[in-house]
Amino acid sequence: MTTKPNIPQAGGNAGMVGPVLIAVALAVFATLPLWAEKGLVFLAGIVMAQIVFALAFNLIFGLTGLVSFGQAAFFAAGAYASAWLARMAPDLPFFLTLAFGGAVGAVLAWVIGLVALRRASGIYFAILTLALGQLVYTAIGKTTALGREDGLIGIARPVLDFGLFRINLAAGDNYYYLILVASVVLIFCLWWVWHGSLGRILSAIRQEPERVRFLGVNVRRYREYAFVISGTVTALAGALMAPWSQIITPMIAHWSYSALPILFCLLGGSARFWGPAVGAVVFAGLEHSTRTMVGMAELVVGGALLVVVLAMPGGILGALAALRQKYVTDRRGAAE
Amino acid sequence: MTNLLEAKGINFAYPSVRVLTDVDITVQANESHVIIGPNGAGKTTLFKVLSGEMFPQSGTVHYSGENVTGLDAWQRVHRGIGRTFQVARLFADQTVLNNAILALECRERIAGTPQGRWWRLRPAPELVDEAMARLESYGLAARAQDRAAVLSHGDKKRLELLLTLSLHPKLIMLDEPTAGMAPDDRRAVVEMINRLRAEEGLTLLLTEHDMEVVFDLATRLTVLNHGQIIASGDPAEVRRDPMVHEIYFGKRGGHA
Repeated sequence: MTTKPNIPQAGGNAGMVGPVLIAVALAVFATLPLWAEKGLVFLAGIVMAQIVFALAFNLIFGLTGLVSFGQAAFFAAGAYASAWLARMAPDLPFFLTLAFGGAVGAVLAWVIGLVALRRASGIYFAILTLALGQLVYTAIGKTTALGREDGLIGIARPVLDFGLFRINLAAGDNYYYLILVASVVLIFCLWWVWHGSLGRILSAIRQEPERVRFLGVNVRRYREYAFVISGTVTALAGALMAPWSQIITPMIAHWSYSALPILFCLLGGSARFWGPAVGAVVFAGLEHSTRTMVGMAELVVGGALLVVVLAMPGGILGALAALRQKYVTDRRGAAE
Repeated sequence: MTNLLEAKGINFAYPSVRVLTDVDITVQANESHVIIGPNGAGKTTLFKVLSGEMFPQSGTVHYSGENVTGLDAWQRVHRGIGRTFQVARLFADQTVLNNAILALECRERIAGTPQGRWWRLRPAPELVDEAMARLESYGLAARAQDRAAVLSHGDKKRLELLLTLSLHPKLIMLDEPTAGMAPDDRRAVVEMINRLRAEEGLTLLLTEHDMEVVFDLATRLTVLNHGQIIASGDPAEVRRDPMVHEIYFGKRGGHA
């Protein structure tokens, strides 16, 4: 009798396929500045921030089962808070301004969660988070210190001072590598939450909240935990992106920006940890390869998305896992 | 005998319909208290009020001498109340073993032990072993790696009972534990429940439709009709009560 636990949500990439794919993706991102043109490197930096954004969102969507439609508010809060602080106090260490962005996102998520989680069921929660997100969007657009509708421009890439040595993030591809390292750290934290004890509880809450309640768990508080963790990491992704794009406008708080991680989740598959990351990369690839088709780009991208979502209800990773399952079953069948 | 659970003057109404009217009920330690009543009598609502899923408009609930009227279900669970549902509620996408492990992790979290820390990546090995042993004693070991969704109706109810008992409750509330079961499964459940009471000193509060099961299980019987208690006491006496006979046994020939 085996007592080895089958760890929940361990994913469909059993064996070595998953780790190998992750290593390949990491190698591509890490070597990109060496062989790709500047435009593509810039895009890759944005995509890394969006991957973190989408993975953090999926912690409440795919894992906890809450459809939040205001995730962009946290992204914008982190980006604006850190960019604003860096402008007000240029001598502050960069990591402090980053942390400030994350902290503002955490507080915002806590407050929004406090209000929105009173109605955790489906459409109410979606509408409440949408409304609160739009409130943040409007507030940013009307705040002079945040540049109103024009946003903040000329956000500086700072110099990291480690005492013994300094790294000028404005030089070369240094800031790109900072995003890479920070993204890996943040993704690792999210991965841990998803696969660990907390993730098991959150997944259980998605499936059967009443049973979890009768296992002595304060369900609302755990949903709030998920919301705050997700909001904090999302804000950090925003704070990381601001000095990279060097310009931020209220559009990153708009509801259409909240739709982005939902799209990535549906595209890649929300039931698996890496699904939204796959979705973000595929989406960026689609957009990039159709960028010269003036007027046709949206049509092609939209059509491709439609096909994926209709043909693969579990997203790309879900479809791959199903194929793999079929392959294994067929081989087993042939062997007998 | 001491009163473990005591509810007084419970009134509960939905916006358009009155469900419970001045309900008094006490559950004594180590008894097996069965609530019966026709469909719509308010049994499940009474269950929800007693377990803390819903709050009454008036009335009080005391558990072990403590006023728990304002406490939510999860807080009452911390004090030793467990509960199963008419239709078993399980983590359908997870394996049977993972269901059992999750319940144990919840127990450890309540106790504040290192095994229950939220940042643990893998479940503690001793909890995995304990979960496996529990599955063994419930006859579910062979299904450990199957998804809970594919279990038979009877196995689902058994697994739900296992999850509930993993938290070491003193009082368990079972909402129709034998509903929809084959006669063999039904007998097994009755046996198990009687054993829990006799060997582990548990107190039971149940609702049940099957009269045979009711009289096999009950040490005390309460009859609910139109949201009011019309009789409560020794099962044999309640059965002889003319009013009960008329509105419950009489019309329905012994089966509801």
